[in-house]
Amino acid sequence: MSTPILEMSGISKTFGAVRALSEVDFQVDAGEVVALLGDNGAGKSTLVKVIAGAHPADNGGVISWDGTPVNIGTPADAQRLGIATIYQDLALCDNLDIVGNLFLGNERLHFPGTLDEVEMERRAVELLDSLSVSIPSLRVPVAALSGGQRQIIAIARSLLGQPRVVMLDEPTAALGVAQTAQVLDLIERLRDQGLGVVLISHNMADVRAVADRAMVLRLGRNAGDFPIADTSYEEIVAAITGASDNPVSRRSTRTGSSATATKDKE
Amino acid sequence: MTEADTTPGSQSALRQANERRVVEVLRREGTRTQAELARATGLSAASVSNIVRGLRSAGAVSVRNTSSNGRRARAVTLLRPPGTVVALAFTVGRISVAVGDSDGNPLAGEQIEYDVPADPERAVRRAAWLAETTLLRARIDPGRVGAVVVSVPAPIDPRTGVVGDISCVPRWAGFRPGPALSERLGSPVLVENDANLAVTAERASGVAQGVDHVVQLSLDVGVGAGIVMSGRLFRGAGGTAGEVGHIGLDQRGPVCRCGNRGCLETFVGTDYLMDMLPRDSFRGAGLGAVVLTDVVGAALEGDPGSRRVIAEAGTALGQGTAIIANLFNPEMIVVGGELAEAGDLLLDPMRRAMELGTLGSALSDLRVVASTQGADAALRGALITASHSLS
Ligand SMILES: Nc1ncnc2c1ncn2[C@@H]1O[C@H](COP(=O)(O)OP(=O)(O)OP(=O)(O)O)[C@@H](O)[C@H]1O
Ligand SMILES: [Mg+2]
Ligand SMILES: [Zn+2]
Repeated sequence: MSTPILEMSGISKTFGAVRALSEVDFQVDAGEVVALLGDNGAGKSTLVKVIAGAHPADNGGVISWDGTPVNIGTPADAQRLGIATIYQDLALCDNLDIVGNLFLGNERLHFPGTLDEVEMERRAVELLDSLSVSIPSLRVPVAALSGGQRQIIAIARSLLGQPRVVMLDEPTAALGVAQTAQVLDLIERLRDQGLGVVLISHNMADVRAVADRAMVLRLGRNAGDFPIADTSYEEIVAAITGASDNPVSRRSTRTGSSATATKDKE
Repeated sequence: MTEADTTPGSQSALRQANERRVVEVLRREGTRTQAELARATGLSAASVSNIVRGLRSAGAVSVRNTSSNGRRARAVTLLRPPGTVVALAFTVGRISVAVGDSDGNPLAGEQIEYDVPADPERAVRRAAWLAETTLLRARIDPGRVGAVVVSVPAPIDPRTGVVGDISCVPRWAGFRPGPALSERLGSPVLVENDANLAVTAERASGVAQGVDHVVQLSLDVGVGAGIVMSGRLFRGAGGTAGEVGHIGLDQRGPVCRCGNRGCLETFVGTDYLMDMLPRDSFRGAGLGAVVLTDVVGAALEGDPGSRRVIAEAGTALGQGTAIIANLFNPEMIVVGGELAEAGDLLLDPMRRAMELGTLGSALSDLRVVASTQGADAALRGALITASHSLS
């Protein structure tokens, strides 16, 4: 097997007294869609923010990129490695058109000097074509787009930096059926292009539709890593809720105080 | 969030058992209020209310506000046995789903554009997603689905469920869509050819109601025929009966994907028709954007080029259908698909060609009519077939 693009082991993250992540292991391969699953507060967004450099991990863990240990201390570190993140609030500018939004925040990708509108439009068309995305006009303000089209523009924008890992936090949460299908198509296309995709979702149908693997977090810890094709829906739900724990392991978790959960009782 | 939002799957076994208790009481005792149902089953008022909501969205019960001893109450009546069916239809550019009650009446439906020919496993995976998502959004418990019927635009071997070799989805050849879908959806899955399902729909609620000897042509990228003889679908030994698109009409015609020359499909298949259009008959629109319905529309408005293309398709269709009529002696030939919306512009030349090629006796009682089922005939046929396979 080839080296994963991104491999993390023993990652912890505390916020004051709250232990959001406890010695978590995680990896993404090229051409793979990994679903990151877990109940509310399980630590999914925290893990994504650690990878994105928004919240550096506590000391002690190891992050490797192409097998080489790296430090991700800031968002710029993550971007330089080739990690793109699409957060749930998309931060698109309603008054700018599609081209403007695609290049917003990607200023370092512009040619030296002023913005070359023609060149920007050419690259926007090229990018959207490569994703088989059809948008009626690149010059409509994004306020006029549907939720699904906005999501696709946000994903497209993140691809301008030519990332190798793309992380999507709940990309389909507010979308209709046809729009969700378009986002799923796009995720499959990213995988086909050899990118590693991390998908956070509470929707098991969406997960089963596109993910290759499901990584489950519970109370900030690893709670299972499943190949989607060979795993039943029930097994994954059991891992998410903790229903699969046998009484012995449940008791040992409860007594091993430091091994537990998110909050130390004060 | 309700339970149905978060638990698509069969985790709801307990809920299903409770639902059966409620249905049993309604069946035995007729209309009952929710409070009476709770008393009779020993379930909590909240569970009864949940179960009734589920049964109602599945069309199994009706609920009426009433009063009991001066207090507001909800009276529940059983309409039909609970049980939901799912129909899925693959066409070249689309996946459609319909969810129906146990009588085959549609409750919910969705469709998405999808590159179906590209990869059968992916298409099936996406179809399972579409079915799950549609059930979820209609708040119908997937555990209640009792039958799934799938329409595929290719011959299907009735013994094995394997997709045949020659079709508009060549990469599906040798693939079995049933097992993957059945595993995903947790219920039995029947895979059937689209033309066979279309004729089923036409006999249930279209122009062929009460007709026992009928051949329905489905015109699309290819040409399929659903054949019903003596009231029964005729599939052939390996499921390729009705592949009339490969009836040879012209030994010097264009080479067909089946390897022969001048097959019926090369005269009426959508892609061939589009290639026959005169260069500038659609000024304004870039030619790539023109679709078959545009051509039909233009013909109906009198565009001579479009009329000619459709008339010649009708003639070829009549030549092919003459052979079918001589073989099977049907009472009715139904023409379905987008092209059929051209009506007599297609059917008149077709009838004339049939008169030249058909035995007088086979022709005398034969009606040639356009389908009334529209584009989702196969999907509706699948829903009906699924409801019949319940019980
Ligand atoms: N900035 C912060 N300060 C303090 N606590 C935090 C912070 N961010 C997250 N947490 C805590 O860390 C834990 C994990 O939160 P996180 O947002 O990662 O969960 P999640 O799995 O993304 O949940 P959801 O599905 O609700 O989005 C929670 O207990 C949360 O309250
Ligand atoms: Mg989160
Ligand atoms: Zn042929």
